[in-house]
Amino acid sequence: MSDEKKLGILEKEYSRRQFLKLSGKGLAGIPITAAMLTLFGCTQQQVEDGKVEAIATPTSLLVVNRAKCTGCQRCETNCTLTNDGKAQPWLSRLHVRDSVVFGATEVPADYMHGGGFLGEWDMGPETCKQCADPKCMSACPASAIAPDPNTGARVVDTEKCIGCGACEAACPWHMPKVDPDTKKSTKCITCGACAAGCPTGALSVIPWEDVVAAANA
Amino acid sequence: MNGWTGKMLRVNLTTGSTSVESSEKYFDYIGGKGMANRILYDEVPAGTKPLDEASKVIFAAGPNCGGSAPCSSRTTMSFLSTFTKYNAICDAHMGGDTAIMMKYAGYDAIIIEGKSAKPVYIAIKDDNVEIKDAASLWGKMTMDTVAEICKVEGAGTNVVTIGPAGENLIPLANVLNNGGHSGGGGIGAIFGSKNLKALAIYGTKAVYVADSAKILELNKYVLEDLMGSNNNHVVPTVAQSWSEYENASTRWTGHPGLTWGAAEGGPIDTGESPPGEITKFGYRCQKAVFDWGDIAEKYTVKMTGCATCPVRCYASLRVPELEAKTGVKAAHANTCLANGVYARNNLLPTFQDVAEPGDGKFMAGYLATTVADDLGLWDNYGELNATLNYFVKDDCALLKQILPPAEFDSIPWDKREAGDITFLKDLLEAVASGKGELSHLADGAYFVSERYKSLLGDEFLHSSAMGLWGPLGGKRHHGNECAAQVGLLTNIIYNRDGMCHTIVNITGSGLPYDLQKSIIEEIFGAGALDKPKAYTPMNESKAKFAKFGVIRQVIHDSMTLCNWVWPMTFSPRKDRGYKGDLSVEAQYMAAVTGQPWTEESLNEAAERVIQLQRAMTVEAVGSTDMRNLHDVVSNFIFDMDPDKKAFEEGTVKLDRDDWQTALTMFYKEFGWDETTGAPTRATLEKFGLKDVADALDAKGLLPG
Repeated sequence: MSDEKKLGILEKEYSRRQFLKLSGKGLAGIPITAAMLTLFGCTQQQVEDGKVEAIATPTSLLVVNRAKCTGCQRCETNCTLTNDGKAQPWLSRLHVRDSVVFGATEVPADYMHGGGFLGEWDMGPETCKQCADPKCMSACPASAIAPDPNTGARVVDTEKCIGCGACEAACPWHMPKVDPDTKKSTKCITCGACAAGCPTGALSVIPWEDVVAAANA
Repeated sequence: MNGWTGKMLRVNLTTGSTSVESSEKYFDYIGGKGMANRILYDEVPAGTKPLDEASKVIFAAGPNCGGSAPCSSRTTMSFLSTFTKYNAICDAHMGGDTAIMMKYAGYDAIIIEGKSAKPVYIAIKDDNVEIKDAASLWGKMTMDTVAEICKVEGAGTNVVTIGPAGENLIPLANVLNNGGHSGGGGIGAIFGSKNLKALAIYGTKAVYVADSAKILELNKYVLEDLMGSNNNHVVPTVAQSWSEYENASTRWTGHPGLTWGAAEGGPIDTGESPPGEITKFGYRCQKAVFDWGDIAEKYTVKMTGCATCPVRCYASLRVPELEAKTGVKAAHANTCLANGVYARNNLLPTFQDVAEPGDGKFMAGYLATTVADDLGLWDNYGELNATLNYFVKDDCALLKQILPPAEFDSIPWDKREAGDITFLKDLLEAVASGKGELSHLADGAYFVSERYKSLLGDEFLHSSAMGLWGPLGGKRHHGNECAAQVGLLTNIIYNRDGMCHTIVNITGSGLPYDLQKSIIEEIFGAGALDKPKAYTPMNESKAKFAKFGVIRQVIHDSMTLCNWVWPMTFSPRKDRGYKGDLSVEAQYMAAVTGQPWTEESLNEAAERVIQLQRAMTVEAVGSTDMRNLHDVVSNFIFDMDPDKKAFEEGTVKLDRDDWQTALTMFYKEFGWDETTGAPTRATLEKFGLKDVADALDAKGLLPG
């Protein structure tokens, strides 16, 4: 993959449900190769079924494979222990607890054939998309959210954050939360603790170099 | 406060009042089982019957629960047994998400007391607790109940519910959450007696920890270096490129070529999962094929399990052909013996095929597991199935004697004759209905024996067909077949089935016996671990080993960790000589609470819990003579394999005189009176239980 193609992925405009979702046509227009499937740990069918989501961060591709998510919720505790020094899944920078029972945050009318523990097992975490045009960032009245100069991730400057919650309200997925203890916003800084501790690799963080190599394979 | 929330919630269903109290006075009992048992001792007078209004149910979790340690989301529930002799103290342990939700809502324990005048459920959202009307839920199956409550309380709510069996006060009724995670012991009937349909919990708070970096370090250590698969089996069934040993009987079933066959988008290979690779850990246990056989691979969507657990022991299947043919839900998950129990023995002599030739037995078992969980009917480690079989054997000889002819004829025997697997659905629904004589077969083996004494004599409770550890009515659960006297000694501690996995996880680890023996003897002394089916007489090393098994289980049920996987006695790593690390629980306690917990102090606290439980059992029995009134084991344990003598190679039978020696040595290890097995004043006071000793003394229940 050329740098231009990579840039194309990062700058693409994404709507709520289309966000860089892998499709049979590829990853944001880049054809999927066999090497990419191996790298992402998924099958062509899972891609075509829309079970695999890929989120472009400045340094890597975060791949979420719902077929591999077993609902253990370790991602949420690892996230908060790592970033907040306490275990508080509600505060986590990715969300799975509200959808493990039914596979969604609403109870489906036909729950027995829906997802989650009460359905037919489809489940997976919703993660921060590290949006090219982050709604959280533009909504912040204190300009507390800005790209980190090293990682490029949009991070919260806790010195500036006033804990108003505008970021959570503005995010289409309501990913940031205001920590009731610190009164500061929390949002994903792409630390990778969630993926490193996922016992089935349902979450994985793949460096761009590897994606590029696989795309060219 | 770190670890503990420091609070417990009290819900009085008689008055409709709720209150929050400090839980700190129970920290000497760690939490979970220890805390719940002490609350029960303090608040429910001896002699109370389980379905009395004065009876209570206590849900509790420990300081470690919610803090992220692997396998730390099991809930302990303490209450009075509905189904064993004496109706004594009993605790049940349930996985799923209940324990962490309770902690995140801000509670170490929830005390449910009193009795509502009408059906209700308890809705807890952090500090907001409401008792809500459940009239529209009464009569519903467990899974529909969860869905209905979540529509009101939110899809992420953890719902613990009873089904019709609990409503109908069936002694073998359970509570369930997240589909198939159940707590037994008859707690469902107590819920039903209180008109309590469910407990719905959602928590957004934190579990604070003293040293988050140390916890993350411990998690990494446990997952990379110590933990194996389900039951901490440390040897894979099929050789992998990294493995030195292989053992076909372990639960480390995952290997290249074995898949989650019905995964969305195509099969997912379980592959190699070497020690050190955390992101492959969850593929070690392909539990579907372990529980159900090879046929289940193609129906396996994935493995699921409890919050925080990387092992994933819940075989999560989808069998659309079964739903199409019978109407029973296509997808359900459970684990271990509950999977397929009703298709064993002879409830159905033959099985009609469903999707392919020869699949009827699997389909029948899967159907019955799903139906039983939806009814909230507890199998009691196979006891209910054993009892039903006992009564239908020999052309229903016993059943015909206890059922009125009209009731007998109402059972669809034609379906049984035809091998129609929906017979099991009809049968279980009839048992759970609470109507007629048939329902009494779910009273628990002891009460079944009492009810039909003239027909059954002593044989029923002592038979190998029933497989009870003793006539008290508890199912043998890793008893004499597991490390001889050691396993059986861990069973007699309880007023239900022995639930201790500390010992069986060692014998079942998959390591060669000589290697197991050398590691275990290093800890407990020579002769601690017999070779399977080549037993030796009792010795002190075995008594110490048995005590370790019980104490570790109490530690796990109290702090909280899953004793189905913990402790880390062995490791899958050759470079560790396969030795585990028994100090990890204390390290977690120290990191979570910030207090200087050690292996010794944790053992002491756990022994305090057991001393109290034993004292409570003495009170329930009403005699100090535990040896002859409580710790009696079933005759089949001594009489099996009539062609062999105890201690001959090839049998797990024990010897009656040797068993009495085993009890004496076990009593000595716990500081109990060596004649009766009752706790002495000196021992109780040693563990800070002077008030308990005084109470026993006042009733003449101290030995000597």
